[in-house]
Amino acid sequence: MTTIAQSVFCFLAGFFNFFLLYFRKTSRAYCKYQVVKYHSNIPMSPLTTHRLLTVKRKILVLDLDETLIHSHHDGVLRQTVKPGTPSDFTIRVVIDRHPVKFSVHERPHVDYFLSVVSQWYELVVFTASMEVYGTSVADRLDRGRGILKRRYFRQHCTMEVGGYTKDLSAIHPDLSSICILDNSPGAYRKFPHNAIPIPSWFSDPNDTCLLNLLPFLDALRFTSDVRSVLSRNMQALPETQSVQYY
Amino acid sequence: MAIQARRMPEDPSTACEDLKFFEKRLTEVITYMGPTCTRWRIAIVIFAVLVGVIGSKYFANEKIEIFQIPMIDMFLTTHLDFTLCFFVGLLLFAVFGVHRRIVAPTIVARRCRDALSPFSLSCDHNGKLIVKPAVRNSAP
Repeated sequence: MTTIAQSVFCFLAGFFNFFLLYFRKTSRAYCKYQVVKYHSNIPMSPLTTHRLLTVKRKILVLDLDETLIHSHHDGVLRQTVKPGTPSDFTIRVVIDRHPVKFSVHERPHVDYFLSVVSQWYELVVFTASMEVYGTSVADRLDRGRGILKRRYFRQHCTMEVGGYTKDLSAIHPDLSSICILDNSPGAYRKFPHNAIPIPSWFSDPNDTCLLNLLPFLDALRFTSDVRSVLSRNMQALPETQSVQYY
Repeated sequence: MAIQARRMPEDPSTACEDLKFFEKRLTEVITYMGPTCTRWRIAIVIFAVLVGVIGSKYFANEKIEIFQIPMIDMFLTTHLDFTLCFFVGLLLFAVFGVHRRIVAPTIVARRCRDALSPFSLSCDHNGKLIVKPAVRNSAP
């Protein structure tokens, strides 16, 4: 009799957990839902059409962590995501012969953002994370569309005093047609005039920073030099002229 | 020398022309949403009129006849218009979010302002660019 009651209780507990998880996913999806998004095929006037044919197609460098996604694993000490938050996907990578499971949360509207921006720009993924992790995340964000083919990882970064920095001239020598979207000003310290700052994201389902950037990136296509607009960035760190060691 | 080579002097006329085309595209984007917004406004006005008509029918009804009928039958027969109106309203506001679509240009303009604020730029509700002086902490 006790065994039967225990079985029934376990079954009910499992059922309740399933509905709890389903409710969390549904409520999170509803929080993420935005009615007003962006039309990717807004028609252009003849003047802007001619302008678009004149200027070059630009390159948009995308960071991953805290910009498009946020990930954590079981061994992390500081909890940046509330426990119980359902992750969008999980990846398993082997780091130094230890298998690590990452729970990855996608920033709201990242899939829509990538599908729209890939029509306007050549997309490049540049992350300071390791290649085995960055490749898995980029594959999941790509979803087989082939829009994130060019990838750069930690070995392509430059080790500076304050951390890793990303060399944009290694991606394309012409700096007038390349811009980087990153949450960390230290990453683009050497190229402050090519940066689009974005706040860091951890788990807020109401975040609309990627949707905010869509009209901005649409209009940025029509510049002959992206630095005409991006050089007005106030959040860039001052470039260090010379690093002195004492 | 390499550091100085990267910091190219900006051509003011090129920057000015770029900002003009930047502004032109922003204006096109926000102007494009006008007709769609107007259609949604017409839809919501029609819905409000229908609600008013159906509501007034019940208020104008002087004789209140009380019958012993099940609730389901009441909603499906005598109050079919109310039921349909309720579900259409639920569809419009909860699924289509019509209360946000009618102010879509304002929402997009606010998003543009949020995206432009790190660059000392702003825009009005039509997408016209507002250039503020670029203040940066120039360390000596």
